[in-house]
Amino acid sequence: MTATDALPLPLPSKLFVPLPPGGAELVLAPGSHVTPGQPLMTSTAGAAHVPLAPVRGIVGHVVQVQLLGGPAGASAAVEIEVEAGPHAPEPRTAENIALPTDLPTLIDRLRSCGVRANRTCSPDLLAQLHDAVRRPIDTVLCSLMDAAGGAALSAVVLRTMGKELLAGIEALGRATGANRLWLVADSNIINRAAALVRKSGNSSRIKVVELENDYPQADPTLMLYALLGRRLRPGRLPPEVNAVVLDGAAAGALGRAVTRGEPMLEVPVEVRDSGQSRSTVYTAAIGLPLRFLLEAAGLRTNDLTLRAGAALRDMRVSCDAVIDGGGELSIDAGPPSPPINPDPCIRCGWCVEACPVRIHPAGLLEAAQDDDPEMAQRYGLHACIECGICSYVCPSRLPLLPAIRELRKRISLHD
Amino acid sequence: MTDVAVQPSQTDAIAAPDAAATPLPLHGEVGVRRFFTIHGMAAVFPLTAGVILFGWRTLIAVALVVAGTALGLAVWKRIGLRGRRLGGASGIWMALLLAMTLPPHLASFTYPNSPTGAALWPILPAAGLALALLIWMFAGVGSGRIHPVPVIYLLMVVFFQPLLTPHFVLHPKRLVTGDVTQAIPPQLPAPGELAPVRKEAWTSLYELPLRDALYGEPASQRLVTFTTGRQTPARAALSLEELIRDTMPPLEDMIVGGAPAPLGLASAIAVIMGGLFLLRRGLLDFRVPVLICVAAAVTLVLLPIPVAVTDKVHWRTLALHAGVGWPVAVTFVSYELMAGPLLFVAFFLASSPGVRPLTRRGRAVYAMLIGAGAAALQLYLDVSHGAYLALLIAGLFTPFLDRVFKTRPLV
Repeated sequence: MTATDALPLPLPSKLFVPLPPGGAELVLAPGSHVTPGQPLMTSTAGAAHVPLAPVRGIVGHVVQVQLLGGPAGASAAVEIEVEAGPHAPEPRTAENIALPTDLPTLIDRLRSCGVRANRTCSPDLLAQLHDAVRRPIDTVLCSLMDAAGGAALSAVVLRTMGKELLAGIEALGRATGANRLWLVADSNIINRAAALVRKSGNSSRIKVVELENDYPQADPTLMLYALLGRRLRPGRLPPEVNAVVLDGAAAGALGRAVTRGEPMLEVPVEVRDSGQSRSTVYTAAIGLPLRFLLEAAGLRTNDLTLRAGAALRDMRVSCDAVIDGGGELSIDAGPPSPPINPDPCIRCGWCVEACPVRIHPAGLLEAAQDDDPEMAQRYGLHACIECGICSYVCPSRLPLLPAIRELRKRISLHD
Repeated sequence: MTDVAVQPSQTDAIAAPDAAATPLPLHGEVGVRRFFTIHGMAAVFPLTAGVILFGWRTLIAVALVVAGTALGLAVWKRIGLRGRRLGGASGIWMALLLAMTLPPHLASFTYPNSPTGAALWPILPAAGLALALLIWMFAGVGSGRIHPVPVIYLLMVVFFQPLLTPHFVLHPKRLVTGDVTQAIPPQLPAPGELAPVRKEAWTSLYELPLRDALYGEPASQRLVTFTTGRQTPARAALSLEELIRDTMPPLEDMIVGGAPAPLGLASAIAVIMGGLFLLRRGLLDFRVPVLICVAAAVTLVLLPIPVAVTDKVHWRTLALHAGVGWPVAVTFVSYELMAGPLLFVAFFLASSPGVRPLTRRGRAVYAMLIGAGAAALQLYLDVSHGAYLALLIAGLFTPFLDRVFKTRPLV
């Protein structure tokens, strides 16, 4: 089976296209016919993208749905027209496409093409570019390292849209003025990445950099520290340390948008079946309910615990969540988690030793129990990347990661 | 209906190699019970050496201590919130540790030259019961900074000190099956004289024995009598070199086995192998035992000790006293490191969760405190108890070290 093969899958009757936050209204009235790539909203607030119709269909009402790896948000239902078939928008020819050479033009292009990324390993792309307008950028890092370790998803991205990926990095480099364009890959795909860059010609400024993808190394905070020695606090944007970070899928979509004006209507999504230790990558339309993807992977949705992104982050989603495009691009489908009865802390210190950002997770649990924000700061709450390693190694099975999340929520509410 | 929305872009077969990062379960394999079970597996090395060198009484001693602890835990588990925090696996691990610190002759009714006519074996389950009580008082592993095992051991020293001095080891021809209390004690020496000592290594004893076991005075007794300045020379003078050359048992007996010792401390090699097992399984921070030993060795050559005893005691620092020479100094330090429980403390007790600091830098200071403290206490107090006391003292500094050496977040 090749990358272009299609399976006769039972498709949903509707897709749910996520709308950017801000309360803007649909430009098209319910019942209007749309074609692939047609904007559903004219203008959006701030750094948000323009939502596009992913397929030919009929616009429905705005509904609230859970996004993959994100909170619930407004989505426009698009009823698929049965006879339509796969119908990608006509890409504009090279003659009428001008490559963006400055950031405002690039941002406009990406917004109009619906290109965005805002996930663990690829911080908010449009916000980064907006930020980059005000700050000097010297480095663009494109990560081919998957959120959960390894490179299954990135290998597919490299294979199916490698040229566009390189074009995307070059375009970012041109627009930001960065002099270092690095493609970061782990040992599994470093050779393929290097070959792709070699094939693209001698003029390419892109350098392939190898980095062991030992989970959670793909996190931007750790990657920037490992490669550049720069310290980026979790939750902050990489331009703060003069860099732009994006993953392969985002770079590929960006490359398609800048070279061909092609909108981002579908994204690669990895489904990891923990029970079978199997991983499969699909190309899924934006707005597709997760249930249909899982059924395509042969998984029985009612028996599974679903987690977006790396499993250890424990970001649980329901099978009714929809694929956002900008959000997480991997789903971990595992057996139902049995309830855990934690033992008392034995002060083994494993959470401290294992923590990749060198904080004190057991101390944070104590801070959460005492509701003590000062203690939380002392133990390094600000530096936590929520990778879940501490919960994983804890022999007492203490809920360290949930406690840290709860603590952050309480502190943000207090602020 | 079309298939635009979902297309497989990679088959499972292709995806498999890249799926090297197979999703992990949310929790690791090592839970609390397994954590302590692995510790228990490490104890197999010194305990096996104990069974070989001290015979079946070793097993009885361990069984009595563990049974006492288990009984105590079964009772204390039902009492209060502290009781609910008690874990069986950690309790049994503590019991094993305690058993390893005790001499094997306690698993008997009496033994040759026993200072008491009373039955000795009840001491062992009583120690186990006391351990369970102490674990309850400290509210389980991880709550207290004081290791219950040395506390119980030192309490036993207070009440039963003469009984805790080990004197027996099985003859090489009677290993495992022999009775460790079946030995002929030597004649008591004249006042001021030292009891004769076997100079040939235990491993080189080939003649058939009259009894199952050999009687000997532990090296720790000779060392502490000398280093505290209490030694009375039989002749005009006794130098450190003469002490080591003429009156100490072979060093090899302490390294391989064959010297009278508590049942888990008889072989330095077995203790180190147990520690290496813990290290291999990721349960031991190598810095702790290494720094304890290094700090102890350095302290031993820096602190003043008697280098000769005449009508008065001549105190000198080995590092500065050219007359002693480094070969004697190194031999003396080796005896000090292996005649007492220092290695056992370094590999099995000091890294116990709850007692040690959480950060690496804190642990380094803690280990050096134990090493230096143990060396000082061994020299001036007692070789057999110094390391335990040093561990308890260093444990009191753990909260302070945790406060001073905080984790430094990456960002």
